[in-house]
Amino acid sequence: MTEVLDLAGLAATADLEQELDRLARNHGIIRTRQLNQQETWTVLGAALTRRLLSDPRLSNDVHTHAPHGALVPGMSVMLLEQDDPDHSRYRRLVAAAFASRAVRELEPRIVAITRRLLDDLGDSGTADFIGAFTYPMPLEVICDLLGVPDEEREPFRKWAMDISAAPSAEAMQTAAAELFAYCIQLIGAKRRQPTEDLLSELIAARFEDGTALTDEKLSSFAAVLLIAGHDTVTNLLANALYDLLTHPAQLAALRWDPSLAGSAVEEALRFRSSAMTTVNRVALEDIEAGGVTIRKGDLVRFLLNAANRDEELRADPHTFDIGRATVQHVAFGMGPHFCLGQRLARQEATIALTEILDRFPTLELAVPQDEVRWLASDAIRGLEELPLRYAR
Amino acid sequence: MRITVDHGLCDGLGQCTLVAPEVFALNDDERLEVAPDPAPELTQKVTAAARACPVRAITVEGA
Repeated sequence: MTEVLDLAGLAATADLEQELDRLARNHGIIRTRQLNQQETWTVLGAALTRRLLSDPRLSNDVHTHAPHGALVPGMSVMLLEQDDPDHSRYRRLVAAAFASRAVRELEPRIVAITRRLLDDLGDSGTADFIGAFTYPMPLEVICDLLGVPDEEREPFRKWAMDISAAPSAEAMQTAAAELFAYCIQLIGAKRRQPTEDLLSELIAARFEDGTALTDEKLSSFAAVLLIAGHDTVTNLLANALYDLLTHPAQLAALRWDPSLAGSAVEEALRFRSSAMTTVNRVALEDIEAGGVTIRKGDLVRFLLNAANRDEELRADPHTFDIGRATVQHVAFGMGPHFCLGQRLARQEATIALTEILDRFPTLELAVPQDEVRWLASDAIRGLEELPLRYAR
Repeated sequence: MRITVDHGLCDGLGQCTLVAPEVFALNDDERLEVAPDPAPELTQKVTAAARACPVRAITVEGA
């Protein structure tokens, strides 16, 4: 297939997933254009996705092998753009903070953030739930994790916004540089006076050889949290709400039995994966896959939305059904780069969904379903706004 | 083939169980269990499973 698909353009419709399924029936792998006009191989099928995500011939270290495929030019993002043995070395160092117990201990803080944001909505009204809730909620969790003091959160929120929705590559780089400088200063403060947060924990953490993370790497980790843990959770939650509200029987089932919240989150992850495409990989040698030859030096990424609608994962993949949710999806990727924050993301989404439905017995789309607008993004699957009418 | 799991590193992420379910399984406490004496024809799968581990908690010798 030589045709190059405009993925961001296609994503601006509700039918992206069906269209990808149609393509995936004939092609395991296609060419797509990225927002920066780069062309990449893009993997669609579930089996091929699973196999290639663990294939050591595909490198995440694009800064060394294909700098034009980097997330932020000139700044290698920790973990996301590292290969083994460095990747596993760094991942071991931060793993404890994202392990089951550590994430369970965050529950009261996530509940408190959730309730505070819901309080701000009052007893009834109409609001864009993305702006009012699903965007700020994971950002406040990240600020808590990093230990950003309350009075310094306003600029932090602005950088986060600029990084995720920058009008240009230059604006994005400027915001990233400002955030980076702020983090260096924050790290200095925590070195002098450690507090109870992930950043202080990481400052104290030591590799097996006794060395510590440099300020530069620690700052890069703050960028990782924002790049991988903000928009993804925002849109996971908004997509979950949208798909529940447009499938009333599913919503009724969840309201009847709130213990299904975890299953609803899994189904939302599979059905409309917010982390639509992975970061770029680069082929270290020629690879035959899905009927094409990926040449050494070519960029490759994975379209997880397509893989998650593969019949191999679940029969009848285009049906949203929380009663048949499976964890066998690839919304968090697979293999060495399997999402570090997946437990946190699952917990945030489950808590938020539970609290929102508990708070508002009335919750409905405030515009006709065909009037919601989908993001023209090739990285994140989600809505521009989610206008909801709500009442206690 | 000798498989060793560093349980201090293993985080119960289950990536190996997706690659080689014949050999690796997580129990209810998210602790990884390894089948004793896997068949030699599973060698390639076991090696791939070790490679799929984000923290490299699995070592395979004599593969």
